[in-house]
Amino acid sequence: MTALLALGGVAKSFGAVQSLVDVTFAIEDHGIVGLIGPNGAGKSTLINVLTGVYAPNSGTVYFAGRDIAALSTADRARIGLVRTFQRPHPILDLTCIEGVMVGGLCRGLSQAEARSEAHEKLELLGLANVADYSPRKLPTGHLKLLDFLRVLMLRPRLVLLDELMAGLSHNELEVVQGVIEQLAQTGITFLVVEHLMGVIRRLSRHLVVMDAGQIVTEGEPTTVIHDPRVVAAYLGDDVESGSGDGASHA
Amino acid sequence: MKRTLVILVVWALFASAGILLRNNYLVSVATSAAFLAVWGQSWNVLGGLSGNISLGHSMFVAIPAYVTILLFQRADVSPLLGALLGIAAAVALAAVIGAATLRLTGPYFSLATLAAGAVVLSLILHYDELTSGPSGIPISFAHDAPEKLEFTNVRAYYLIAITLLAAVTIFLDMIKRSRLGYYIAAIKSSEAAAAAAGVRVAWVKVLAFCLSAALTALGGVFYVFFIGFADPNFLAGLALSVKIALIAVVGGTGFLIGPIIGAVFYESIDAVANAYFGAAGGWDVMILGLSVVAIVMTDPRGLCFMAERLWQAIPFRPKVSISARGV
Amino acid sequence: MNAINVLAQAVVNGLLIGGVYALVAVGLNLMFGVMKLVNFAHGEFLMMGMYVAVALAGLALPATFLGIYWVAVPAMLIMAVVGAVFYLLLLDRAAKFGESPQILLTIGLSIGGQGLAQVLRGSDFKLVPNPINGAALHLGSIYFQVGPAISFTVAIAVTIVMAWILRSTRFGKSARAVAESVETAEMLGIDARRVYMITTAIAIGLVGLAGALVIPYHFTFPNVGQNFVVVAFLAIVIAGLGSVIGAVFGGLLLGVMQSLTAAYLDIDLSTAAIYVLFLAVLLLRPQGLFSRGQRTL
Repeated sequence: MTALLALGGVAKSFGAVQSLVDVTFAIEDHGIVGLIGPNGAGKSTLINVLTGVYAPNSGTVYFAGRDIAALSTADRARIGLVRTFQRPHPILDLTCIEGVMVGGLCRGLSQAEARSEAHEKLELLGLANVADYSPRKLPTGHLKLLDFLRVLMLRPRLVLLDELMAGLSHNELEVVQGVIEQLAQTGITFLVVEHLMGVIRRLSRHLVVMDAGQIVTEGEPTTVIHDPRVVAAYLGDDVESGSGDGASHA
Repeated sequence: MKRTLVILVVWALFASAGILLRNNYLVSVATSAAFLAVWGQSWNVLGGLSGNISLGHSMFVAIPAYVTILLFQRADVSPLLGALLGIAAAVALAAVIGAATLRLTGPYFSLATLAAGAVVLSLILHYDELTSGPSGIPISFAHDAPEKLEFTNVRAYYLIAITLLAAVTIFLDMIKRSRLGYYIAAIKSSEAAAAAAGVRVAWVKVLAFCLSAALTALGGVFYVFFIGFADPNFLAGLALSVKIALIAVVGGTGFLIGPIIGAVFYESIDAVANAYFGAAGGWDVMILGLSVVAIVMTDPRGLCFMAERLWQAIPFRPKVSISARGV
Repeated sequence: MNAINVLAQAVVNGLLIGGVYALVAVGLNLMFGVMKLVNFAHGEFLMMGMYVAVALAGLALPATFLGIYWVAVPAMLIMAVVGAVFYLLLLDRAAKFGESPQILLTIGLSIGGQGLAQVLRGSDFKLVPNPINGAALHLGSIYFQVGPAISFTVAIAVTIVMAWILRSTRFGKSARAVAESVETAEMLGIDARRVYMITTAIAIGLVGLAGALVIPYHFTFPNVGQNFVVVAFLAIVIAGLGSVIGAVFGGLLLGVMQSLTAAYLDIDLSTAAIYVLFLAVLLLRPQGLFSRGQRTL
């Protein structure tokens, strides 16, 4: 079986800063893959390259057996490659449910269909009570979940979660992890970028470690975490923090 | 539905008031204000809903106006057909400018529309054999001829203007609640997040700009017959472009009645300043400009939001929902 | 005059006109590069600089060379203070509103400023009698108008000084850091608001200088800023938004373009020609002619 996502020799630099040096790895269909690495390792740049925000300087990106270099972010989302952001991106002029509906509308649903499906999704995460509120007054955790639901409405095949869990309450964390596991059962693949090791350990059965724009190692989580190269990456290179990820924080 | 009904009732009230009012001057001031509000409302389709500020909307007033008049006067083409061609020309221009600049973020779009507007003006002024250049084109008629958009009673244009205004307002309300409206709202908050949710950002913005141009153009055709004179420096001038953008924003882009409030605000300043200080002194421009500065510094969302905040500050206020407010 | 002479004369005229565009454009692009703000009121600050210079020139006998040019430095300093006040009073508070309200604020200020000038100074065209207006130097068969030639020379000098300031001074380094990333700059201990204030002061000071340089040969009136600033807007986009040195080339390029169109086609089309160039650049090279990727300043 071909991999759902396959990267070959992907490199990206900003001026003199080489954010991604040579990234080669593949994600198989089904399951939850963790991606960790110190600040500045290039995780956010990688997500931006995967979703077409940045064009790589070199290398190939295949999704579901297809070279997606020419596709825009929106078109990648429509064929099932979606992402969330570190910071929440609420749609301020719409109600919460309408903001979630946008993903469904892009999938081609009618407004009525999108609304009822969005409602189901909100109930799944216990947010049905805020459906008709403006997102302006909601806490960060709620907003991040709304962003997550919006892209789920596209019926994605691969979801890139860029620190979705950071800033969630304990309860929200429990619910979201349950939902992710449940969705993974139904055939959606997740690439989870997190600093919260508890989340990574609980969710992922496969862990990829990045440092300085490269994949350091990958494999079974408990083994990987104790790999001396991983320990070195976290302890040694933390001084470099901020250079590579900077663009996506802006 | 409820909002549409409210709009129609208000329309009926204003229509009967205009018909009953004996003062022709007041009716024509109200007609000007209504046209301005139509343009502000049309500008809002892109500017208000997506946050991309066009500073060249007067070209969408001038182009259809000139196309319609020239085809009529030189080739005897019916103004109704000419208007369609003029609107099509405006939309085509919007598509080109939009495709070139709306994929860029930042102030490119504002600067490009400003420049395009100036090109249109300088072309109109330069090709004077066709357009009569700076001296403009008078439209004179002595009899009513509805099929040529010619009416001797100013009230006819007043009714046309407020009908257009009601139609554009209802249309804008529909857009807000449509698929397109959701996409535009997503883009306004974050283009990155909209694209991540599958919204084809550039395409949606160009479409919104074309719609905005078409609605503006519709107003432009009727306006020039109402004024009875195609003055290039007014119709295609930067001053009109800026005025359209300002009245939309001063009123408040989040409200359906925003541009209407903005237009009334502008016309009142104009009338009062001219009555007190004379038309030539620059007082009207000064007061308008400085009040825009004051409004932006007080609440950049505009007059309607200020009114709403004031209203909410009243302690024992009666419970009334302001139905014209968007979400 | 032969064909080469016509061409050379047109290029010279264009460069000389372009000098003022360049001075206006440098400040605009400095503000855009550092503050990400297009100052639509920039032309009105130029107009204000011209009125200040005219008033100052009225204090002395302007009928000598020094009599008309001594105002340049005080006008620049006065406008720099005006710029700092403009930042502290308006831009600083409007920064949190985001891009669109900032655009509207400067547009409001632009038309308000025109109205204010008309109310205070009337709408008639003012020209201080002086020996520069109309004076020309002949170099072979090419002639140089003295006033524009002085503006051009000062513009080039200012560019060199600005390049030095941005490269070598403490302020310049801070400004470049802020332009790159405000967050990073603040982590490095740079006071971004101070940088913004100085940036605004320099930009407005430069249009004050430009104003003083043009009063010998250009009428002063309430809408005069628009004559220069619209071209300067186009110049900064053509050069690349944020590129300060590029802005100078953009200003000069548009001056030459206008002058060539006027010489070979029609003076009415000289505006249209630069807009066509502008739209072509937007279509083909939206980052601008002199900008390399996303680097600024």
